[in-house]
Amino acid sequence: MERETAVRVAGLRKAYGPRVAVDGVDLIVPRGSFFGVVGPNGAGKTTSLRMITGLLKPDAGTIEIDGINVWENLVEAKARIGVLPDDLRLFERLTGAELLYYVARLRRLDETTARRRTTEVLRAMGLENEATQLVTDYSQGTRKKIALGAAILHVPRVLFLDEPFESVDPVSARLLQDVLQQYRAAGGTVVLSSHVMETVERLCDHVAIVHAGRVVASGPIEEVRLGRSLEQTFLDAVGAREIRLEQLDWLRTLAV
Amino acid sequence: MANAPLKQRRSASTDLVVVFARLKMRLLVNAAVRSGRARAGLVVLSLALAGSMLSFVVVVAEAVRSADGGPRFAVAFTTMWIAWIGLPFLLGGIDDAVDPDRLADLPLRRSEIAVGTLVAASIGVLPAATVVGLCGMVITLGIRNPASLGFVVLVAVGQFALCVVGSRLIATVLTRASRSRRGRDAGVILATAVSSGLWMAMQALPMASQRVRADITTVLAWTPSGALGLAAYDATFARFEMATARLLLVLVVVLVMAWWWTAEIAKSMSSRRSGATSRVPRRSALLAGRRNALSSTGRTRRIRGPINHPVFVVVRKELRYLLRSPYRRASLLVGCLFGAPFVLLQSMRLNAEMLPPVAAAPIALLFGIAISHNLLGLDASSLWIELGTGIRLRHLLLGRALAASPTLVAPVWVAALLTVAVRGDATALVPTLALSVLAAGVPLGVGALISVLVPFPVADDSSPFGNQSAMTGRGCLIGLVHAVGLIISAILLSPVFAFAVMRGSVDLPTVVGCAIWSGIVLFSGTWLGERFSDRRPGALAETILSGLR
Repeated sequence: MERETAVRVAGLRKAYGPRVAVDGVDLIVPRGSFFGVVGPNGAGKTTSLRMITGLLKPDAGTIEIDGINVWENLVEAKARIGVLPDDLRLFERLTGAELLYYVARLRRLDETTARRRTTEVLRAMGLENEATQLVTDYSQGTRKKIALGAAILHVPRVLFLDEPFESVDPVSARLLQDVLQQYRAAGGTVVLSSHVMETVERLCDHVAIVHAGRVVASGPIEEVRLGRSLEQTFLDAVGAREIRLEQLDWLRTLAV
Repeated sequence: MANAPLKQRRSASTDLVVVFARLKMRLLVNAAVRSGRARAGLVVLSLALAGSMLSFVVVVAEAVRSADGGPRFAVAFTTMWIAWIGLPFLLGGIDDAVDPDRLADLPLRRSEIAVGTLVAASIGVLPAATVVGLCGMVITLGIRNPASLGFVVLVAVGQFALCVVGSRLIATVLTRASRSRRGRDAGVILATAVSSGLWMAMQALPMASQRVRADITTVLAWTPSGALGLAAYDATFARFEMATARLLLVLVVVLVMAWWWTAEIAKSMSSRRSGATSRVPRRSALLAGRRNALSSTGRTRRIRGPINHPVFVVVRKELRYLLRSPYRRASLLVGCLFGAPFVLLQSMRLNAEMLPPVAAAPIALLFGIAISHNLLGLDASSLWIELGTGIRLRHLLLGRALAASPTLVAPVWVAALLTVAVRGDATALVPTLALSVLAAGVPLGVGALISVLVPFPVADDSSPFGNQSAMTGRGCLIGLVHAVGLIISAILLSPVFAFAVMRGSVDLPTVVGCAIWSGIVLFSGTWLGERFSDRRPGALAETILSGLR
């Protein structure tokens, strides 16, 4: 059973003063799964992912990745994961090729392997022409691609992606999805957060719906949605707010 | 056999140090090769540092010739240390440090990150200049007393370590503090109070007695950098016991600072809040509300009453941002904390009978200039929303100028209150406060025009501790334009002040005359600003926005 679990989270909690951002999140991510975390804005998805990936210290709870307690063995845990965070803090004054190379070297890959994988990732991501441009000059989509490349260089066991397809054009999004599918087919586990239900429905086989800092539904996607669309399930779970159109009465009165 | 893993770890750590060093060099080379601004900045910085280091060596060489040159050693070493702490905040864009935050997701131990970033911080223009200056000192003192050479080399190494570790520690602590509003304000207040205190001390030093100077030396001897300076001096005169004691003291301080710094790195890397950099600005709600109100009855109607005039809507919105925006809050705090003592000192020197608004208002400009000369560049990312409401650029400029007036007025008010407290005479207080408000129209009018001619985009969440344009070609140009604007403001204000000086007090005619003149300049500045924008504020906004990308 333990071998089948890639990520195990229990009782995760984080508060900023009186505001509780994450309030007892429990998650089990099966190994080799494509796991989607969905939730409205401010639900606690990003905060949870940051705590799980060792970027934000939780107030309470335990996190295990590949059987390793993250906050007790931070370095070992980070060696087994790749992260694509929401705020991409990259070395802006390196070129794309240099960024990949130095990330690989800082992840302790040897010189030859670092150079080889850099070239291969650039080719796979279709970034050969941008390889010598500074990261600061990249578009948002290109930044996401290079950051994903940097996250997979060391062949992580689990890949965490926070809103990977936001601000990305359809062509780049498709390429990112292909890379992720290939990684998953090779036995990797992907955990991604997203607002786009269609994407999660199409890519993921497991899903967790997070609302107000808690997991309100979790499991294989078919079990969670029970024959409905994921969007409807999500709206039912978080309680979609109905707009009272009479409040916007003025919207129907256009100036002549 | 048992040592094999240890050896492997050491070898891997050595590799990492080399990677960090190469990474820093690559960042430096890329900045220099690919950016004209950075090249210009590097040249300016190198020239400035070359002069500074030459001065350092000259001071040391002169001081070692005299029997009481110890204090000068202490001051020279302390000045170098302070430069190391202050300069990194100005060097963004030229000599970036390797930010530990960017390494947060990598499997690196705290010690590895500390050593790596320390090595990276030791590579660059400032470290190179420091090494040159310290080598000059070693040679100078070595020639004077060859027996002390080895010890002086140790002192030089200690000073370099102190500078690097101290600078990294302060930068890390302040960067972490700047993530929260209270921490940021506390950091600004602390940094400004320290620099303001040092500046006041430097101003007061020439007037101080011999005894006070001796007291200062005694205090400096207990600071790490001062102790190192005195250690070098003692060693040159073969007082090795005393020199060794001072060196050991500094070693302990460096070790404590290094430990504190690594602890700060660990906290920094596990405390970054999500979404900290992606907050959605809510600033244009008032304008949007006004726009909606325009259509509230199905027909566009004119909102009546001066309070709903677009200028005042902009003022209300901008005043909120004056307190909420990190950059503007920092400017306001710096203006009060640095401007007020400056004005106070000048007033004490002038020994004027009345409060010195004559001196206060233009000097306060120095500290509010970052805002009053850049009315469109602050929070530029949502400028298009305001322009989209159809507001006239003249009204927008006027509203923003009025809302920026506290940055010019607040330092004068603080100085005026301090002067009253010191002198115990409050008779001229009210006219002075009134005059400071009314006189602000002149620099704001000049600033409105400059804001259109040289808009300078600043990200609203930019760190108050970082100046991305300092010492760059563009930064120099902006500085030059601001200086010219300051001179024009001073010239335009001079008739009012001359009138006040002639009458010997700030009376009603002075205040009324100032109000009229100030109003004319303010309206002229905003009108000219609109004219110079070629009546195409959209194009202007696009120019400003492109600078933010």
